[in-house]
Amino acid sequence: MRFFFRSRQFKIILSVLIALIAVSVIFSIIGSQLSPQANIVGTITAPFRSVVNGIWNGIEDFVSAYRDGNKIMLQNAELEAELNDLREQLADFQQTQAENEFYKKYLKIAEEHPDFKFKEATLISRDNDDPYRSFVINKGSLNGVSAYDPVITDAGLVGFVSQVGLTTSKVTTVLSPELSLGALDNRTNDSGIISGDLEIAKTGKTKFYNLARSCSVAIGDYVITSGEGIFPKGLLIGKIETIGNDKYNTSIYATVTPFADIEELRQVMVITEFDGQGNLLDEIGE
Amino acid sequence: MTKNVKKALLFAFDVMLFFIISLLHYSDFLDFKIFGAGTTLLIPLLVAFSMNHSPLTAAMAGMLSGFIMDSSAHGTYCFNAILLLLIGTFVSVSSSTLFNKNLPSAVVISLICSVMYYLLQWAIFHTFSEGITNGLSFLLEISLPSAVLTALFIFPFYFLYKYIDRIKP
Repeated sequence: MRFFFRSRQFKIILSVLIALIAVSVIFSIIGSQLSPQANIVGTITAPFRSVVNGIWNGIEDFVSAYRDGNKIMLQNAELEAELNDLREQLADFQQTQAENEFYKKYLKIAEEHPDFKFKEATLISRDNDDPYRSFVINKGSLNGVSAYDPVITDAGLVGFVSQVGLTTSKVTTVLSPELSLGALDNRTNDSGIISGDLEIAKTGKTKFYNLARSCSVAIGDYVITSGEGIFPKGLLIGKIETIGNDKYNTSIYATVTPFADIEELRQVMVITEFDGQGNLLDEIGE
Repeated sequence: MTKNVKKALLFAFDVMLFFIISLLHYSDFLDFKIFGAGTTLLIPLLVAFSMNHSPLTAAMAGMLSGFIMDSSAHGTYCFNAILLLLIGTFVSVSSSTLFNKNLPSAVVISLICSVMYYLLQWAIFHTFSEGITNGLSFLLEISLPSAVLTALFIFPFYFLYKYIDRIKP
């Protein structure tokens, strides 16, 4: 063993290790930026990750189509002769229609919030070790995405961009305890904080806590962003599922099922600009 | 097949294997969980690889696959690169000095490395952000079972690299 510690190999490994630790410390201090090597490797591997993700989505679509297959096959048999000539056109039409639907849903949000500027992004990989389902999207600083930008789907809030690289970004979801955002009960205007919790996140829900004991939140109420912090006001977060007493103080909390299906995400929108976006970041010196 | 061609093919195979496993780890392909315990297949792969390679080669293989992981993993800067570099070096050095190059040793080393990986991951990323109760739950319900499950995947990789070692020129 002691021969190894005197060897040239050991010196090289030690130098590389020190360099990596230095990079790690520097970028931990800077925060919200991907380290250079992760940036380079992320940019190189992004197309491969898109391909792998595309293959998996294809398999999932095939399996779900097969599951509902019998019914569809009967219908298809009746219509096949009629549709043969039109199939190719139909495929194009369906693809265009799906894209239109996707954009139409966001158009509604854009009409409600004219100050929002969106950037469409596709999920290219998911951190399976993370119980809070963080993921990577195929848009980065070159596409105008910045750290702390909110990420949404047409259904509701997904999370925020926690680290940004040149062509990819990491997104932390509303299931994570790292995210802590001001929220309101849409019906009663009771305010609290949305933040993740390990036990609750296992069931795909997040926690709406710090609610006054006298508040009148009820199961089934919708929860929206309050506009404090890095998120604009009025974004739908989810629906209250259960209400309970907080173990550590006199307040109550609710579990919230996010409207955005975080397990099945494929495409998201990043809100790159909105009124009042920089306020909090200026305050905290970002 | 000449010696050089065979060497090049085996090198290409190693690179492809590491690259594919690194990519698959962050796709839904390998998103299977048993009672919340997941796997990091790169660890047993790196252990099996490092047992038959020099410390420098093993360290570089670990570091490069760690870079791919860091580009997708949540909240890390060089965590995976550093840890996999250390794992590669440790396995390569210990398998030629402390352990024999056989299956029981591979299982023990794989278990040590997996436990160290998940323990450090828990200590660095989850102890402070999640509070005491959730932090301990995370350790006992996710990290340690994941480490054990990960270590079990040494079997296919051990036999694969044993075969590769046999046909190596």
